[in-house]
Parts: sequence; structure tokens; C-alpha cells
Amino acid sequence: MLRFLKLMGYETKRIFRNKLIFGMLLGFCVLLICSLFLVQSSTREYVVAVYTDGIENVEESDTIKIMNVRRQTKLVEVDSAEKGMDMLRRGDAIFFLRLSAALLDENGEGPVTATIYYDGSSYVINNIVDDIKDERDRRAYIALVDFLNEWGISVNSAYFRPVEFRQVAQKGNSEKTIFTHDQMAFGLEIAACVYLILLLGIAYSLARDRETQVSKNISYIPIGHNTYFLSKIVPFFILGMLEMLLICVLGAKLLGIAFQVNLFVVWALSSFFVMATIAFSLLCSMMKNQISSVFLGMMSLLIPLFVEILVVIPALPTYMRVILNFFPVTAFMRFFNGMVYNGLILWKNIFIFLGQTVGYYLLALFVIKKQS
Amino acid sequence: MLEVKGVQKTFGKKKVLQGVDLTVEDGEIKGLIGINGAGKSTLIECVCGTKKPDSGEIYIDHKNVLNRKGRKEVKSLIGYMPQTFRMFNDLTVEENLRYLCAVYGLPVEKSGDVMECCRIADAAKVLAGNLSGGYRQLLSMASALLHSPKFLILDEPTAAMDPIFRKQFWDIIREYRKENATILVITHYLEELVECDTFACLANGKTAFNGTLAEFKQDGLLNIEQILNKYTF
Repeated sequence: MLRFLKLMGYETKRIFRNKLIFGMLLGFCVLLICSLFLVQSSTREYVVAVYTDGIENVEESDTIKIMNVRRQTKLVEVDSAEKGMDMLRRGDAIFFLRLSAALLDENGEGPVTATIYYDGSSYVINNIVDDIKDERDRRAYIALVDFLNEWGISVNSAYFRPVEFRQVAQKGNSEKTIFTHDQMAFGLEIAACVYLILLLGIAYSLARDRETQVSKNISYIPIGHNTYFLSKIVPFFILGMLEMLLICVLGAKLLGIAFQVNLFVVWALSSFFVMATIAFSLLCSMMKNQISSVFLGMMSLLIPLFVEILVVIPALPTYMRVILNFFPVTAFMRFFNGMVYNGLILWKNIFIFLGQTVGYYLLALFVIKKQS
Repeated sequence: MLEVKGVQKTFGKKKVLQGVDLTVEDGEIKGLIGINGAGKSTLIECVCGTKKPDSGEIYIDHKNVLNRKGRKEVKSLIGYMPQTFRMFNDLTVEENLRYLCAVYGLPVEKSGDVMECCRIADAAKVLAGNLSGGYRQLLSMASALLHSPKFLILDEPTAAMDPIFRKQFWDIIREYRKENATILVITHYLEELVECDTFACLANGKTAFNGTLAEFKQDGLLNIEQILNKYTF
């Protein structure tokens, strides 16, 4: 153990002595600041007028009209007592009823959160869209997007983001201003930052050792591949966890993101993602040279990110989603947002991370043994 | 004692070693020569247990290198100095040696001793990546000698050295030999073969010659080129 700690100490020294890796650490801070800025600047304003004919007890009112004043369009007019209303209509009705109830709160305080999230098997909007059970059904997803678009809310990849409706004007049966505080893809940004530094750091560090044949020397001295690898990657794990802590604390304290799960639980569970990333980076570092390693690593980051931004992963066919799940970033985006915004711990994703960690680590060991 | 018996190794269709026999007695310095691609480095990798031969036997101190247990045991008996520099460029000379002290479970003071012995103590705080070619080889040598191995295997150790460093280097080898170490050295220089008790010539994947330099001189072969020409072509 003492031997392992000593080796780890020297590896840590190497990380901080290396200008490129240290530069990436600084670069990470810049990325983080940029992503925080994105979060802060993504507040959008909508003006709607809410009319009800039963202010005192809006949930029991007969008719509710919600207008988008800016667009001068009627968004919805429902009669909650209507019989034979289909599921989607009923869902719409309850959704708007709840929203109206919040808007017309006597105290005029307290935001109501309409959270659109993925609970591991289906999309849920405040648990009301009962008919969209199968997230693989693209038509259902498109219907959901249309439904939200009607509200003037951009839902491009927003199926997982919280949309917070905040009442600003005072109570009354009049025009209200609603802010949708769209927190962008916070998990996506974090995934990118943490993944970048860990993956590039490890891939660069190990591939460089292979290029300079230092790792070949290991075969001639009495040190096992496991000890060598672990002494190299544990400092990166500690580094990754420090970054996660920094992100969580900054997110909570600076941006006021209301963590739905305890901050330290979020941090601790993120360790699974960090482990999976490190194991994948280890595998990347088995490439012939630094450029190939870094290229492979970048691809594994950029593919899920672009797919997420441009297409939305759950809207893809099953086989595509299975392929994307080989990259740790894919599972992390849902995992992190699920915890932070929805108070959900997606255990399925933890198992994905564990599988990736064990699989990639063993594969990397197999490759290095075969190569040496 | 190092014993290599009928070792064969094939890479794809190329037969690199075709039944090499070699013996290095305790306390002996043995030279190993051969043209590029003759299989010298492959033989050494097999001896060190980092490559598994297709057939044959290798024993170091009567321990079979080809089985897992033997391979593990001989790693601490062997000091290997590679042909190319393979130390951490971003650690200083002292830190590199201390890293290896941690690997071998040696006290850190040992790094100071070996630096003195290899005459690199004045560069202790210099990053290995900033060392000159000669100093790099001396650092490699220091790392091979750190754990006082019984067997020292040197793969073209003086290839990048000027005559002054080369002389220093052989002074260190001679000094170390006094500890009854067994040394196997790959070289392309006749003046280094003079330092060896015996030498072997590898040609076409086999041991073409095994004897002393005096035997060659009797045949009128006065330089390495002539020796290699005779056995290789």
C-alpha cells in the first residue's frame, strides 16, 4: 500500500509538472465559467394572460382560458368538467389548471415548476402525460414537443430540462409575466468539462508514456500492470471528484440551482461517471500514439453531445441508442439532470457506468498484456 | 548462471530466433553481437521474460523464466538497460530513481548511492528530459543498477555516448563486476568486446559463434565487420 501511495505521489507530481495537462486544467475552468454563463443567460420571458371564471378555486372552475398575449393567440380553453375528454386533452387541462392555480395564487408567490423529465422509461410532465409511456415512440415525442411549442417554449432537446414558470405580476385576473428559466443542458456542460479534462489528461499521459517507451520499461521491473495503471489513474480520479465538487458547490451557491437530491449525494454518485470515464480513457490510451488516443477520446465526447444537441438521443432508433450508451457521456447527461432537477436517481445509469468501468478496464488490461 | 537452450521465436512468417543456445557463467561478462535484425533484442526480451518464445528453455539462476513464478522471481534478479532512453522525462534524475526505489521497495537513500556510483549526482535535480545523451545513458545505467541485480543485461548501452562517457561507463561496469555480477552486453564495438570474457555472435537466428576474442584473432578476423561478414553472409 505504501509503495502504491508513493508511486501515486510521483504520478501526481508528473501531472502538475506537465504543462499540457496543467493547461487543460486551466482550460477546464474557462469552460466551466462559460457553461455557467450559459446557464445564467438562458432565462427567457413569456407574457401570457390568464383568464379564469373561478379565481377563488381555480382547480374547480368550469372554464379556463390561457392566452399568449405576445402572439395574440389563444393557447387553450378547456372545460374541466367536460365529459368524454380524451387523455391528452385531459392532461392538457390538468396541466393548465395547475399552472393557473399557481399563477393565481393569492399571495402571488412561489414558483410552480412544470418539469419535463425522463424517469428512465417514459417522458413525464408533472406526471400528467399518461399516454406517453413509450419513449421510443417518436410520434408521442413529437406530439409532446408540439404541445409545448404551443406554449412558445422551445423544447429542442428540452425533454429533460426543467421549465420553471415564475410569476412576477401580482395576483388578479389579468396579464401575467412568466419567465421560463430554462437551465440549458447543465449536465451536458458538466459532462463535457469533466470528461474532457479526464479523458485528455489520461489519454495524453499514458499514450505519451507508451510513445516514449516508458511503459515498455514496466515489463522489465517487478510492478504489475494493475499497480502501474491504478497508480496512474487514481490521481485523475481524485482530480475528477474535486472538479465535480467544485461544479456542484458553484452550481448550488453561485447559480442557486435547487438540487433536488442532496448536493453530496449528487457528488458521490457522480463518482460512477468519473470511474467510467477514466476506464474509457485508459482504453483510448492504448492507441498507437497520442494523436489517435486524443482523437478517439474526442469522438466519444462529441458524438453524444452533437446527437443530443441536434437530434435528441431518445428520438433515435434503439440500435443507435445502444451504440451511444457505450460512451459514458450519454448516460451522464440524463443521470446528472435527473438528480439535480428531478430528484431522481437513475439506477439503470449507475449500472451502465459500472459496466463501462469494469468492461473498459479489463479490455485495456487485455490490450496492454497482448501488446507487451 | 544464465542458460538459453534451443530458443525459437517467430513473428508472423519471419523466424527471428531459430534455436539459439547461450550460456553465461556466474561473474562473466558476455558480449553479444550480430547485424541489425539478427534477433539480439528479441533474445534479450525472451531472457527477461517480456516475450514468450515459441519453444526452448531459459534459466536464470536455475529458475525457469518461462513459467509465471520463475518470471516473477527473476525480475528482481535482473537489471536491464534498454537501447533507448525509457525514463520519465518529466521527473528529475533523483525522482526517477526514487520512483524505482518505491517499485523495488528500497530505501530512498539507495538512489543517492547509485547516483554517486554512476557519477550523475551533479544532475540529481535536472529533469530527465533535459539531460544530454551521455547523462541519459548513465541514468538508465543507474536505474538498472539500483537494486544491485545479480544479472545485468545491457542493450547497446554506449550507442549514443562519446568516448569520454563510454570510458566512464565501462569503469562503472568493471567496478560493478567486482560484486560477482553476471553481465550480458549487446555491442557493435570491438573495443567493448575486449572488455568481455567471451562473446557470442547471432546470425540468421542462430548462435553462429561462441568463444573468446582471441580465437577470432587467430583466424585473422580483426574487426567486427569481418566477424559479422564471416558468419552472416
